[in-house]
Amino acid sequence: MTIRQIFHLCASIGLVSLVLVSFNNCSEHKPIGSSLNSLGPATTIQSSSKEQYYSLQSGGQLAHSMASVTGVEITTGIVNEYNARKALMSDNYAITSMNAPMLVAITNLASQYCGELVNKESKLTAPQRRFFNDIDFTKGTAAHNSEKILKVTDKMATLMLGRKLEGEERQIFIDSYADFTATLTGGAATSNASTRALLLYNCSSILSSFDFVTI
Amino acid sequence: MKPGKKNLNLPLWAQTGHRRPTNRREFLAASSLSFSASLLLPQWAKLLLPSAEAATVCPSSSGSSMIPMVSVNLSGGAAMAANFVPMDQGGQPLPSYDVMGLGDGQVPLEMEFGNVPFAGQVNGVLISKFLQGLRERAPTALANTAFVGVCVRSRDDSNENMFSIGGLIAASGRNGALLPALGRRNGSLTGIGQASAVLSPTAPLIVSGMSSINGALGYAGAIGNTLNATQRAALAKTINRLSDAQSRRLASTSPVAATKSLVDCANKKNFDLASMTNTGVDPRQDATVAAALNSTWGISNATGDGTRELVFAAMTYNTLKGNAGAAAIELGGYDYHNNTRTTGDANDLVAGQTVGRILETAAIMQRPVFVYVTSDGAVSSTKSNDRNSVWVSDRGIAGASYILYYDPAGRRPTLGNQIGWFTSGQAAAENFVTGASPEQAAIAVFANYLKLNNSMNQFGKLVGRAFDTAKLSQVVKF
Repeated sequence: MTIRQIFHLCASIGLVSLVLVSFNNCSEHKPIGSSLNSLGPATTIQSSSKEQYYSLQSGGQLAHSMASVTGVEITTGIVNEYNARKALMSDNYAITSMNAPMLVAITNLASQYCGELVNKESKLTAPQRRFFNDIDFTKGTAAHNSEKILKVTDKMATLMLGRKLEGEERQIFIDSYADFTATLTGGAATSNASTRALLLYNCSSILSSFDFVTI
Repeated sequence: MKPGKKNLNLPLWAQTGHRRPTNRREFLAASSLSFSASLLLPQWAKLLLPSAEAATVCPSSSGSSMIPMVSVNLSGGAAMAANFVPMDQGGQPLPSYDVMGLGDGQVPLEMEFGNVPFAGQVNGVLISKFLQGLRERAPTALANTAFVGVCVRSRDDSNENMFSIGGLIAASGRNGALLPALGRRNGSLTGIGQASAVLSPTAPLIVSGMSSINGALGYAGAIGNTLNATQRAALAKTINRLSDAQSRRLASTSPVAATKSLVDCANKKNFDLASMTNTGVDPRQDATVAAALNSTWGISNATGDGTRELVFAAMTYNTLKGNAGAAAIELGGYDYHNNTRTTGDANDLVAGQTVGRILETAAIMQRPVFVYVTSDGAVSSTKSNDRNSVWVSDRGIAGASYILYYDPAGRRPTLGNQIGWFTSGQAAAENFVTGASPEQAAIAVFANYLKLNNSMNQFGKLVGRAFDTAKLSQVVKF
């Protein structure tokens, strides 16, 4: 057996355990064990290209995943939003079932979590915060330049996607900062509400993006 | 590793100059999740590989090319075989209909849809209130509508009759451009009080009011309260760009490229939706047909959000327009064996009016529509020669369902107007393939749907060997 084969075997075994443990919290459907049992002894398992493994998280999985990565409690508002939208979210994992109302539903649900996250962290002192320790919640976006917001967004990506923003994604958030601040008129940019809105915007973007909603 | 010297014993990530994979995506990229992922995803792994037939272009605003389908469930066990009058195996009247509420075998018949027999007139009054309702509400559509009655026994007062073909319709390609299938009953995958035949559909959008449809397409939640319209449009643009960048890796192989297109399409439409001031889902706002639809359904801009007629109008309109997949409408109150005929007649009239309005909506919009009317069980009357004897109990063995098909181009000819037959015992014949099984009857209905769509090639693929060729020829009437 080659080193590569040993590596693949170990990684596969390890990841089976890892995924079994980590997926338990977000599966609302059959327990993993039942899926494994349903394979039966004679099932042929085929290895194939990596692209096959993209699928959508179900609505329930998304709700649990969003709770997990944001660390916020599932409030009545979140439950109501989920109940109102769950019919629009995936329940069959098929990426081909993705449609615009589904994305709207996911974004609406994401925004509930993000709103709770912003509220929760705005009440903490900077060192106590997990996501937004660089943000001054008493000030508007005028006090938070693009670079600072990008740094915070990069941290959100790390905590939500498990990785930092990549080059193109960084540019997208630089552009979105410009788009968002361009909508602020009068004294809105100095109001602390604009900062909360921008954080909500970026957080909702990440939780609604392809990498978060797919498995 | 030295440049140009490839050591095949190294893992792929090392061979390609990357750092050790640490997260799920990176393990996928390093191909080390293949086996474990296959183990974990047995039931739905096939869903992850889009077929070549997967949509590669954004659906047009008119949605699928398959015929729109609206099902109407009369919950409780309606007297469907006392409106449409079922015949025996030879196409002749039964010796008696005296426990079916129609008296002896000399039932006066009223022909409609060409030559389909309905319970006719006594003293100038139509017995079939369903037909009366149809005629009231579909004054122009009936001329272009074909009708087939299906003789089928079903369980009384049960949600477990497998009459729903919503899953099959969706699998055949009838899906909405903006919305999923629409239903009325919370917690039901079929959207009504019927179980699925063969395939379960995905969860429908439950429509309790016009706001259910509008709300499905609009931003709400925290962003609805916090961001203004311009900011919401900018958010959709950001998500669109972000997902485009992240999903680009999907485009590396041909079948997956189709998925990439689909994801792009969803994101693009999401952006479009965020920018729209009118999503085009409210029939009252459609300048071309609003006046006629308002008149047909008795609705206006002042109609309350949850008013039944507005809900049904919106469900029908969006299905016909292609915004939504199939619509599953439900009417309650059909467990009406209360020792009168009054309640049953009143509710049959509502059923006929509702189906009539659906057909008339299709005529107004100049779209075809396939309407499938079901119930759970049926009723029996006191044994009497009275043509209007009262309903006294459940009697699911005398059940029926209906197919109605409106075609703007003209009424489609049929090979008979009845699937199966009734016996002299005044019950659906059990020895016919669809007579004793709601699911088989539903499959027969679906076969007719496919035939109307010139898509019989999908039949075997979707339902397997439910019927052989001989049986299929007995149940397909179009």
